[in-house]
Amino acid sequence: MKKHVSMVRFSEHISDILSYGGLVLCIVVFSILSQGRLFNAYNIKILVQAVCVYAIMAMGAIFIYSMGYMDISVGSQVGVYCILCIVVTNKTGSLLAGFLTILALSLICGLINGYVAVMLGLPSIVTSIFLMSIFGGAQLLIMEKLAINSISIEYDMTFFKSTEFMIFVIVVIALISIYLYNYTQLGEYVKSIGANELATSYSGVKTVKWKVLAYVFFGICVAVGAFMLTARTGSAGQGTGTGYAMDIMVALLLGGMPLSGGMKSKMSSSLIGSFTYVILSNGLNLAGVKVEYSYVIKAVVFLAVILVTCRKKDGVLPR
Amino acid sequence: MKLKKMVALGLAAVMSVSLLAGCGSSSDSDSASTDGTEGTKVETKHHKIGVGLYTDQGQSVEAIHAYLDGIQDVIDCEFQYVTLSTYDEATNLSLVQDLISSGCEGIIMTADMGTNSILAECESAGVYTAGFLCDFNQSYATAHDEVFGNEYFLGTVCDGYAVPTKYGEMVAEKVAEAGYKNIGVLTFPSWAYPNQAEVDAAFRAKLKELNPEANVYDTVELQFSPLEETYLSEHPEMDCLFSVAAGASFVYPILVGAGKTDIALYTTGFEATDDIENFGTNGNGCFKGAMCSAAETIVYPLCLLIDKLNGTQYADLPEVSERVDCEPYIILSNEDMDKMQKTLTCTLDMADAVFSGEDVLNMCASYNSEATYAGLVEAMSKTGLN
Repeated sequence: MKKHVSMVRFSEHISDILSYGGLVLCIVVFSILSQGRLFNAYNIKILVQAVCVYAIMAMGAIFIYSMGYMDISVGSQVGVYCILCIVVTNKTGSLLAGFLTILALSLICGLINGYVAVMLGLPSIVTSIFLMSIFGGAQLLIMEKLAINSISIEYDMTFFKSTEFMIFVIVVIALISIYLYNYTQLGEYVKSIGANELATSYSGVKTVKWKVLAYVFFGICVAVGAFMLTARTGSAGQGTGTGYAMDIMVALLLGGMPLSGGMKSKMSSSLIGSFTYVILSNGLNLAGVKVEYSYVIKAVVFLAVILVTCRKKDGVLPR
Repeated sequence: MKLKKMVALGLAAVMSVSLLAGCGSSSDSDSASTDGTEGTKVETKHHKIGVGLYTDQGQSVEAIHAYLDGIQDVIDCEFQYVTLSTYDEATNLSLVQDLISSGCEGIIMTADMGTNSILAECESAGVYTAGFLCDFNQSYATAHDEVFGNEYFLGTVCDGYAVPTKYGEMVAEKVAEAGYKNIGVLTFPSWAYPNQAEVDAAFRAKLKELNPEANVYDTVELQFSPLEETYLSEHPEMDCLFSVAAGASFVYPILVGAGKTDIALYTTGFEATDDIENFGTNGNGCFKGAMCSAAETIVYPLCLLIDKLNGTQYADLPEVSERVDCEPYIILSNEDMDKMQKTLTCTLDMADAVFSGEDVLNMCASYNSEATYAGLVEAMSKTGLN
């Protein structure tokens, strides 16, 4: 009997074990294959820099994925935000003006994603496709208007791209996210919506309100992530942000986030997943693995995690 | 169900480990062959060079790999490859950081995207960079001092001519000679590739001079996607198409699909597939022209990096880094194609390379005191078909 109980407990926590185990395995394997380079000071610095943007956006995305939803417009949004931040900063000479512009825009997008989808009775994926097309087009139009391939910021970003500042931002966003997710109604209800939206609604919870709030918080995280990306590269172009929607999804899944959301969702998935994803890419390069093999290895790892974390019997795709 | 998942997971893990193990053994074999450099007469210093290519597939990439594999033992360098993005700065910065972290002392880049931040990173890490198959036009026009004036950027060799009007004029001569009457021109967007607009302008000017009767349609910019088939129906009388934008990939399949392979196609790029089989009098004869640069032009950044890492430099090295021309493979006749098929770019055989490993050592100031920068630049003019 005791053996059976312990087996049940083990299976309940298998996704946690695998996500932490995956990170530990990546660290162990790549520290051996890279002959210790994984832990040199320079590499730790670049790992933090690479993780920063993913982690910030993934922490916001947790609120969306917990509801069983997803947002594929992130990449296009990031691209436009980076370009706008640079354009506004260069025009006004004020970095704050640049940041506030993209923050305002991200809040509007959050409202569209959350509120409009509910009002029109559309699945959230539809509004995010709509936003992806709008932002993708806007990104191309702005760059064509500027008639250059890439635009550089004329503000000194040395402070904002320092590793210390990046760690500071990650910690601040993590504290806010953990608080909202674990100690407020927002976190409780987004998980509840993911587990059973109808039951949540019948129990008197105004699901529309919490959905909108979740998307708004995600929007803020995207804006902060875009700002940090701008600080890191100092430039943006027509392809900036490409692939971020998929990268964040992969990072969350590697962190043990169930595709269908619900009560098993955890904030730790965002940080664990972001680090695993970045260490996987970084470690493969450090180990000198050929590009063609690295694609296969990433795919195999991704598939392995999906097999374990998808727990719904009635399908694996998010709503 | 759980059992199935665990079995699948186990198999996936086995696949991963097998792949990693395979990569590891390949690396061992490389290092073993590196030890066998008895043929090298000069005493060389070992260096690790990162190579960031603009794509991970295609004939050019295979040729670059074949060439560097062929010379690495002689020049005592090992190479680590990454695939750069031509549109995302952050990706390129991360990849360059990975190369630095993995011990690369120098980096050769084929894309000008995020160059400022990459150079700042390289400067702080004491790693030198140089360009190849890339004119760094964006940096040249908008950040010349920051990039070309940066001591950690050693210069670049273009993909063909830095001022490409000559190529446009050569194609115009062939088109005029063949007597084509209705000609279309395709380019990539001018904001991304301003040089292609120069090729287009030179082509039009020369063709107007040689055949004023020829009708050249307005240029259509391909947005990095295949040609729309409607373009062909809008110009049913078109008998020639000059695609400055990778015609083998973006145009030829559309011509085949529309049954329009009777249109003469002059294009940049070389894939060594359809463009050989259907060139000139071969196959359907659709391809009348192709153009690409030799993999061996990587010698330019390589020599600059090796010298810098060895603490030596040419006596005539210019103070500000340069972008230099290379003589591209311009294939405009059956004879040209015959010659092309004997190049390393086509055969992937080191025996067909323009420069051997020993040649490379001789071009480095640190291994040959008589080597000059002028000699290195001149060598780039010997990479064409003639």
